[in-house]
Amino acid sequence: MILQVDQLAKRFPGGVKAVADVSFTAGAGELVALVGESGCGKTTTLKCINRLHEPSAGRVLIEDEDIQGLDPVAQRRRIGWVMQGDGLFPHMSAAANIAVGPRLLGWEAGRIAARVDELLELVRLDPAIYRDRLPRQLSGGQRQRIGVARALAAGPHLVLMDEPFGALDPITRDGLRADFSELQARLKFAAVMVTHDMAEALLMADRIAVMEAGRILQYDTPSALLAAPAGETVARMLESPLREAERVGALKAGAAQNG
Amino acid sequence: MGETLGPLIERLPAFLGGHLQLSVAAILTALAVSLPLGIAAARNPKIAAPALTVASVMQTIPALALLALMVPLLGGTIGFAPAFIALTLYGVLPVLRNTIVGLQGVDRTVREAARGIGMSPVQSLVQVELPLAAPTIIAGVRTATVWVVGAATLATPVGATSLGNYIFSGLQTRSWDMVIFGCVCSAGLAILLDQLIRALHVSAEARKPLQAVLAGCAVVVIPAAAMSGAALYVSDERSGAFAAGSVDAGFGDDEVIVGAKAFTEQYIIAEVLEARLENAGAEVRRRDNLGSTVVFDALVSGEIDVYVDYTGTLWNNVLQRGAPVDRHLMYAEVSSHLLSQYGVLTLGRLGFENAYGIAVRRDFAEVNSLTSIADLARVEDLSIGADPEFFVRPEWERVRDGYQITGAEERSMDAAFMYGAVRDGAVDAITAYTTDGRIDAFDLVILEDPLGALPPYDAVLLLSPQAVQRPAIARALAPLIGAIDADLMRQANAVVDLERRSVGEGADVILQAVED
Repeated sequence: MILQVDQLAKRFPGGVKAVADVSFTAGAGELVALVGESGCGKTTTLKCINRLHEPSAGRVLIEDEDIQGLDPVAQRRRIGWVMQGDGLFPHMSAAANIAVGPRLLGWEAGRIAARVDELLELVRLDPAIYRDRLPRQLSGGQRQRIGVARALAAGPHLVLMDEPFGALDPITRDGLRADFSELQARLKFAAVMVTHDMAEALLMADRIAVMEAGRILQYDTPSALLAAPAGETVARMLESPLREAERVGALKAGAAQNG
Repeated sequence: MGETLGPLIERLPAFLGGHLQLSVAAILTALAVSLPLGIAAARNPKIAAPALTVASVMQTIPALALLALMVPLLGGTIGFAPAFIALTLYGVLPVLRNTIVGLQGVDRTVREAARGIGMSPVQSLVQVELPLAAPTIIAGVRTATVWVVGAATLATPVGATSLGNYIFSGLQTRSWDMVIFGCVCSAGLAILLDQLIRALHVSAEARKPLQAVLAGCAVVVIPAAAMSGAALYVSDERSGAFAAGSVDAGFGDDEVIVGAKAFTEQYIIAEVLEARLENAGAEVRRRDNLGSTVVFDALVSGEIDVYVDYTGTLWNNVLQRGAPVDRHLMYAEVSSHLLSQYGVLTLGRLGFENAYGIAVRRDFAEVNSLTSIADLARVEDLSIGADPEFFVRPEWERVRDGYQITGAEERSMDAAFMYGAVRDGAVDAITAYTTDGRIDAFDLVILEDPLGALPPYDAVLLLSPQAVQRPAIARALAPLIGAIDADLMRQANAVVDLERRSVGEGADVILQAVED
């Protein structure tokens, strides 16, 4: 198992309970989605895993090692991190952004350059064209591809993503999701993705943890979730993507008849 | 203009070198202080607020006052040190403020990305935050540079050599080409340094290492070249001093430093002292344009060896005494006080008195039938022009209250302008210096002072405690005692102020008259 989160809790100074009793696991090649409204604790959970927040209780194991015993900075270099927006460094070229992780790990220049080109190919951007571009010279979708490439640069076994596709237009988002899933299937890293979009979770995740008020309401596969939502909240959250799909289906059927 | 530029350019290496040395040292030190402080403050508001407050207060103090305040704070030291410290303080604020603003302006998500990706706080600062804040910080550095280079011209009155030497001397002797030359040089220097920093930043941004290196070299090489030029100039003087010393005229190996305040008579006297000392075999250095209080402190601390002051000034400023006494009594009291309190030797009186006297135009005096200051009380809408120092001196209080001219409008102006102002009717009366050649030339009359409200101002030759230990100095200067009467001094002043000839020619008038 690559990631085990066991009864994780986080209280902020002042006693505000952000997260309590959160447990889930992610194996190689698996994607776990944390889904919920804003403020439900999903981002806090994610930040406890790479210790942008320190957990108050519970355990997080990465490849069977308790992270409490590790140096946080060294630990973060082993974990891929994709941010809401893109989080690229605006003063660095695409290549330099991707190279940050390997550089921090002390790779030699030749190996870094080769790795950068390999990753640009992997996220479907022509290195010859995009290598030297600054973030402001890229489209939103291209920036997010660079963000993904940066997270994968050092070959991590675990990738954490906070609303990675949230700020993109639907067509770009679709393409990027498909490409990401394909990459993950090929590279076999474990991934945890925070999203408020249930449809996205259903389409991409192997397991979904539905969160509310700092707790997990239900933790299951997409099909099990659809078949048996545990309680009203989960059912309501599943409703809107299903209803949308139904309406679009009906419209399409109508269009076929009229045509 | 052609023939006047020659002597100006001759002094450029020394003045420009001094100016650059002072401003570059102050800017670099200000950077060394404010960058780390700004970095610390950007992360900690507990530091930011007080640091910015202190730096802002420094900025509100006029540069001239900040510079002058440094002299007493440093125990009377004049020259490079007080100017350097004041200018450094002056340069801190823009860099500090822009460092804090620049770092705090870095997008939070970018800082979080740096952390999340595995950068240590130092790596995040060096690789991400500082590069992103750089344009703002550089803008602060450029502001500081322009301010400091400009303010360095004000270092002249505290005894530091700078391009201000042109400006201050030029203002006092009304040599406008000298003033303009000084202004153009210092403005040119400010623009040059500003553009060099800009070029350095632009090429660093554009990742053009060659250009960046060239600009970087220019930033270092130009000041260095100017400084070594100045150093050569100075070392020439030094080796000369050594040579003179080895002849052994009794002056030892050290040069003799002659001080002067910032007006024509002082320049002429300093020139006379210099000539006498040099004839006797001493190597002489000049410290011109010292502020009127700075100059005495400098004598006490041994920064200068000899200068000429006036009993009435010393009575007020050094002895801090009130109502004036008889001329000879004042001389005796001043000289014994200076010796017992400061070890300063009053070698003697030069023979002339340069007092303040209330002067009006002769026709104005006739129309209003004025003979004494008391008659001014009858003049309606009276306006009096004086140097800025006069209106805060106790003798003005005594004149104003004693003669009941409390309603008079007080117009502060530079001493160089007040004679023209009264001649042209811009003011009714001025507090003239009684030795000024323009009193006769502009047909002014000095009003009587029956109450004795204006103290006597005998010119006295003062030696520093160290100079007292070198009898050759006193020996060389003794023939001047009692040898310069008011007429002679007025003639010499007129050569410079009216005939617009050089200070050296003014000094020649005196040198020729003084018999050994």
